[in-house]
Amino acid sequence: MTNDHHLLEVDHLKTYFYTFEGVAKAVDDVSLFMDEGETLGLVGESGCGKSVTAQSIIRLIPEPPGKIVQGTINFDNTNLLELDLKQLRKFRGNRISMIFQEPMTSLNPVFTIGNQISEMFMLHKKLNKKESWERAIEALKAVQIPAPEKRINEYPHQLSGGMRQRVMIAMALSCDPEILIADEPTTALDVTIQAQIIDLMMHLKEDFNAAIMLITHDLGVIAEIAQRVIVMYAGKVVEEGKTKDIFEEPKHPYTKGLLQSVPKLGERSRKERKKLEEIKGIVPSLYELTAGCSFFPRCPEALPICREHIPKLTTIGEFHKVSCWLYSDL
Amino acid sequence: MTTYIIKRLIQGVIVLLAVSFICFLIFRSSGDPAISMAGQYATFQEIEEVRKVFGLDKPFYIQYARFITNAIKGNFGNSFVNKVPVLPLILERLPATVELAVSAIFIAFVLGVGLGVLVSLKPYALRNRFIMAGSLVNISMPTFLTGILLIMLFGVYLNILPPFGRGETVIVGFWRTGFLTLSGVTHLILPAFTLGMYQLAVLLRLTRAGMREVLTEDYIKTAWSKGLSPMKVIFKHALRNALIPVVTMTGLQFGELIAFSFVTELIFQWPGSGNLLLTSIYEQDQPVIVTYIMLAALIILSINILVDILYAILNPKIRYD
Repeated sequence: MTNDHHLLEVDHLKTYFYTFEGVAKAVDDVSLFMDEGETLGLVGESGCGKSVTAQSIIRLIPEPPGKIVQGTINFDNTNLLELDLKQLRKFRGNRISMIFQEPMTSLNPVFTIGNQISEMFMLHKKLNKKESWERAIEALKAVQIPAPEKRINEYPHQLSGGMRQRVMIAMALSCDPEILIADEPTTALDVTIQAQIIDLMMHLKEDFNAAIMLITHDLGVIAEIAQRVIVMYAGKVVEEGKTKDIFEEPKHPYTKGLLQSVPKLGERSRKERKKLEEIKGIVPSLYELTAGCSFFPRCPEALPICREHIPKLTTIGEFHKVSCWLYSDL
Repeated sequence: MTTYIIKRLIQGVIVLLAVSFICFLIFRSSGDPAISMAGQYATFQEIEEVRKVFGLDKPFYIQYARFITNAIKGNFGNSFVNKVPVLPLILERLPATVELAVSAIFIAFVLGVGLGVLVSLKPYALRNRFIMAGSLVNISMPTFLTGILLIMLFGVYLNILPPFGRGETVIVGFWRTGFLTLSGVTHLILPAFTLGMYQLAVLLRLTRAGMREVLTEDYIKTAWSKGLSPMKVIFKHALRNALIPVVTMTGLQFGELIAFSFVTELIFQWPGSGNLLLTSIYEQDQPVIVTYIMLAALIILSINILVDILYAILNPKIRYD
């Protein structure tokens, strides 16, 4: 299914962290692709390597202790992993930009938001201070911040969490990037604000025609907006497919578990009050992964072979791949 | 902000009053001023006469009130030794001390922050470990030893810098400056380094700690993700945040440098007010000592208020209202 027309293609990416406790294989042989204008959901429990995968794409992994050990990241016929910092900077923010989880701490507290947004225009569009400032006001307008002319002179601590995330979005989209990586953009916000931010992102996506990689553990959001979903577990892709396939016919026991552990509104009052399903056990430590499938210790459908060998990602339908011994042979 | 400054000014006045009271007590309790003023060979009658003339026979609180009213007028009395008004005597020596302290703090800030940033970027590099070890030596070494070692190395063995004195000076208005002559500047280098060395080490360590913390913050990751150059990320986004405690520290130290530069001044025979203070202590010239303490308190207080204002400019979260 790999062809040359993907916007972004990550191939056999391995990002390891070398620490005192040993080597943590945060991303272990992950391949994925993104097409123009599509929304890709990246889901999994905390610590499964979603964020590290995303940050590896624009090489934001702190080195040391982190290191991208292997793989290629192709974007516009360029392998981003081979670029030096100067070349890489032309991509960062300009063509691939990123929004982070914590709007409270992602903006620099000692500069006005106008200063921080207009920086993007001065850097990538080579505009002067005044033009950049005007563009920054427009950018704030686009993310529906009221009274942008006034807000632009304010400091991050004067804004609420939702407002700050809007500012982050304005900043990330300011240079019309082709890819927007949103690393749990709504996790730190309260529910009503979450909906607004997601709405806004989807709305802007149409305007800017950017592809979005949405990292989240909120399956509801994924179901709502993503065209394709990648499920990660312990640094590996365990299932990948169209959103409809993943939600209606999940194959991997982990994906099934994830879907069962989402509460459905009203269900418990209609039916008997039974306990919400959970995936037993915890995410394994990345330092001590087993020889076989890393989900094996928690898997309700485990086979003897799962203990010995790591299953390969196998295609089982159009765009649908799963990495599980239930669906592949040795 | 204005209310805050007014509040601080009122606080400052209270502190100055307290200092003045302590000064007054020192003045009172370190020997009988009537005897000092009348001279060693005065008769009992002469001493009593002096006591009467100067109001030293009046009750304690009246004397204190007079001390305060005179101090406000800038009259701190005459020096016992030189028999001239004290305040002009000290003010004449102050430019030398201020220039020394300004140079010292400048060296300390520029080198301290510069090296601190450098070290923070690669904390475990061998070169940076050496810098950190050096700064520790510096912090632990007393000023007089630093001064003597510098004199030995640059003044005696290498013989490239003058080991003492202030060199040629030029008078600009009321200010006698050494900045404008080559000799003045070369004479300044060794004492300024000696005085600033300790502060340099402190600021270096503070900058390094601040930078290391700030560099792990989310907004630094944001700055990188925007595609900014390392210069912009480090010197704009990171340093500005790391500088907040450093500026506070620099300000506090600057006041201390002016007030307590006498060890350095003594070593380098620097004709500043610190040296005057030492001479006055030897000669038990209380008016000079008391005035010096009052002046030092005033300088430190004013700088503290300035630092608070600067702090608000650097850190937008602080608005003092």
